[in-house]
Amino acid sequence: MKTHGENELISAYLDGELSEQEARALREHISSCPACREEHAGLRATKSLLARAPRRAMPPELVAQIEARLTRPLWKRMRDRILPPFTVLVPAGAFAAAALVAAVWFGAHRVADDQSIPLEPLLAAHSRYAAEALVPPTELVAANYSAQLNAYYGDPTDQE
Amino acid sequence: MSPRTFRSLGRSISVGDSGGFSELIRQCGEKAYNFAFRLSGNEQDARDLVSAAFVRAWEHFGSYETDKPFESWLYKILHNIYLDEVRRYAHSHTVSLDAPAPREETSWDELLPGADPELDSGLLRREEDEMAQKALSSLPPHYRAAVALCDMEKLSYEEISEIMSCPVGTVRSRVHQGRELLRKAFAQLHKTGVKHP
Repeated sequence: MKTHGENELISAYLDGELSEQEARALREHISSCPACREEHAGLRATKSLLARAPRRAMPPELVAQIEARLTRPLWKRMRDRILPPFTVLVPAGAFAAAALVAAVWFGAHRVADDQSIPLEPLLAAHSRYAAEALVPPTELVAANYSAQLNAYYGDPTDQE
Repeated sequence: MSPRTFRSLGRSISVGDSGGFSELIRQCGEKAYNFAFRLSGNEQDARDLVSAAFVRAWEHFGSYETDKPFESWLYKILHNIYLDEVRRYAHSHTVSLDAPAPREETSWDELLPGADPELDSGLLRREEDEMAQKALSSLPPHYRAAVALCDMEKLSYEEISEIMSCPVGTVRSRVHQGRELLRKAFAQLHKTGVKHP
């Protein structure tokens, strides 16, 4: 029997899925083929390990939980199936709320920036005023300008 | 339960009586829960899977063919729900149902304690169980389901093919490939010096 490259036969043999004729032929082959004997032993050990795994008891409260779901109205069962579970909705809702707050905050600051006075027209107006003013540019600073006027007309705070 | 009992149960379900179905939950719940646990690898997901499977069976009880075992039908529903969840996950991640799964970050020697002759048999069984589950969880979903149904639920290839909606030859291939992948995992344990059953 050809088994090399068809080791599925060995698994099927271990599972009792071969006909009596196929099983007999495989047994004969295994007895004379060290590679297939080793394959057989390895697969049998793996199957045995899984078969020995202990059974788990169904949690007792799970029966009651399922029964409670059965008696829920149809629309609630459909909603449970369509919507994500609560454990997903809560973090998702928190994230959405945080994103909304951040968007509002950034939006407000952007509006404030838009409403601030642009610098370029202000400088242009200042330059135009400086060119057209009768007062010399070095005396355009308000404090100096006042000092010049005071020097010309006399300081009103000076009682003498 | 006989086919006649199932037909009677179907009539009571159609009028909203859940009493008979509760008996089915008690009879088949343990098997469904074990299969779900082997597929998902954790208790919470197993609970969700079993719960969803029974609710869907209740809703579609009219389509159940009463001459076939109810457990096989329930397994099929549960397996479909499981695959839906895997596909949903795969939609946002790269996961193949057939290709070998990527190795987990944790190495085998971290997962398993060293061999100690003083350990009692109960502890050894628990360690064996943990090892078997870790190895199973490393398999791609189709291989995992086929091996769990064959070696743990002890179903025939014919029953598994019905549950997994595939030909018997595909089941044979998946069972064998699954065992080969498990063997490789166990062989690695040997290399790290951990006692292998």
